[in-house]
Amino acid sequence: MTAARIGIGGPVGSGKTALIERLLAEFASIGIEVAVITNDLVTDEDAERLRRGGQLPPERILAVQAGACPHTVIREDPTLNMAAADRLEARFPQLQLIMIESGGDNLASTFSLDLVDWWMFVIDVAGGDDIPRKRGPGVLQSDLLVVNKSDIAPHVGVDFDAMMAEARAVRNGRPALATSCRQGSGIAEVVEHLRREVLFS
Amino acid sequence: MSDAPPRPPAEELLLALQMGDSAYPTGSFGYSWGLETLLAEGLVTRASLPLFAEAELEGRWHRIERIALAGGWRAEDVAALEAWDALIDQYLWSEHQRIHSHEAGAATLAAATRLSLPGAAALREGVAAGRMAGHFPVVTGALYRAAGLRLGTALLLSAQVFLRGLLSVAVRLGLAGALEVQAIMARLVSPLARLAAPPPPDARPCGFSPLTEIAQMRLRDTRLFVN
Ligand SMILES: Nc1nc2c(ncn2[C@@H]2O[C@H](COP(=O)(O)OP(=O)(O)O)[C@@H](O)[C@H]2O)c(=O)[nH]1
Ligand SMILES: [Mg+2]
Repeated sequence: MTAARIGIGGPVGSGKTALIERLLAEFASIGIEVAVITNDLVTDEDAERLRRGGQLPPERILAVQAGACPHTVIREDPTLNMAAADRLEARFPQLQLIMIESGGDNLASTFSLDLVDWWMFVIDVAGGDDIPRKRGPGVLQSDLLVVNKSDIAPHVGVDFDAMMAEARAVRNGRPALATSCRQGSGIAEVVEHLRREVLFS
Repeated sequence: MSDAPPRPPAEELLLALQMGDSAYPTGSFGYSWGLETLLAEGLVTRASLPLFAEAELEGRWHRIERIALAGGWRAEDVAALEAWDALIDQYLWSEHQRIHSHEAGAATLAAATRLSLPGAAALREGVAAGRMAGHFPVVTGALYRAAGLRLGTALLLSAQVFLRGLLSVAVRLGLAGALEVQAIMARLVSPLARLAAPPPPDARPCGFSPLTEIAQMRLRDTRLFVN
C-alpha cells in the first residue's frame, strides 16, 4: 500500500503548522500512521517545531528547502517533495498519510496533482474577510478550504458567518470548514472530512 | 545504456531545449552548491559573479561533472553504470556534496520514472535496492542518452543548465538582475562550448574548487537553498 499524499497550502501565518499539530494529535488517537514534509522558506523552523512537539518520531518529519521558490517546489517542479515522500515511504512502509506543508505564499498558489492526491488551502480571519472575494486559485480550486482563527474574528472586525457564507458561495459547492486551532474547534470536522475523502476509513 | 538511435538534428535540438528548460522538473532549482553561503558572506559579490561563474564552469563542471556525466552516458548497461557511479562516489570527498549529489539524482529519477523515460525505472530500482547511489550527473548522462541525445549535445546541455542554475541563484537572492545574468551567459557561450568537449573515456574527475566545496560544508542555519 502507498500512503496518500496531501498538500496544505495557504498564506504565511494562516495556521498551517498549527493545524498539522492538531491533526497529528487526532491521528495519533485513532491510530493513523503519518509523516510530514515541511517546505519552510528560510529555516527549518516548522520542521523543528513539529519535532519538538513530539507527536511524531523526528525521522518522520522532513524539511525540503524551496530555493526561494515556494510555488515552484509544490507546482512547477515538485520533484524535491516527490523524492522526499518516496524516502519516507521507503523508510516507513506502514505510512498511510503524508502531509506536505507549503512554505506559505499568496492566493495564487496551487499544488501539482503530480505531487498530491488532494490538497487544502488554509486562510484566516486576520488576513481580511475579503480573501474569499478575491478568489484566486488557492481559494477556488483546493479540495477543502479551511478558514482558521475563528476565535479572533470579533477582534479584527470580521463577521465570521458572512465570511464563511462568502467562501462557500465562491467555491461552487466545494467544501469549506471553519477552525480555531487555538481553541481546538472545527478540528474534528477536518479529520472526519479527511477520513472520508482521502483515507477512506 | 539502452541504445536509442540518434535523433534527426531538428528533433534532437527540440528535445535538448525541452530537457534543458527551467520548466523541466529535476529539482535542481533547490540547490545553490555553495553560492548562497558565499554571497551571504560577501566572498562572491555582484562584481565578481561573472568571474566566479566562469571559474565554476571550469573547475567544477568541466573537471568533475562533465567527466561524471560522460561516463554515465557511455555506460553500456546497468552494471557498467553502477560501477561508474560507485567510482564517482569515491571522488566526491566532501560528505555534504556527496549526499546532495545523490539526493539531486533521486529527485531527477522521481520525475523521470513518472514520465516513463527510457531507462529510468531500471535506474531507480538500482538506487532503491542500494546497488548505486545515483549521483546527479551520472543519472543525467544515462537519461540523456536513453532519450536519444548524442554525447556532444548532452554535455553542452549539462554545461548550460549548470551555468543557468548558478546564475539564477544570484537572481533569486536579489544579488544580480535577470537581464544582467543573461549578458553574462551570452559572454560565456564560447568558453562553454570549448569546455563541453567530450572527455576521453579514461578521464577521471580531478577538479578542485575549494571556495564552493568548503562553502557546501558550512550550511547556514538561515538558508533558502538545500546547500
Ligand atoms: N488566535 C489564533 N491564533 C492562531 C490560530 N492558529 C494559529 N495561530 C497563530 O498564528 C501564528 C501562525 O501560525 P502557524 O501555524 O505558524 O502558521 P503557518 O505559517 O500557516 O504555518 C502562530 O502564532 C499561531 O499560534 C488560531 O486558530 N487562533
Ligand atoms: Mg508553517
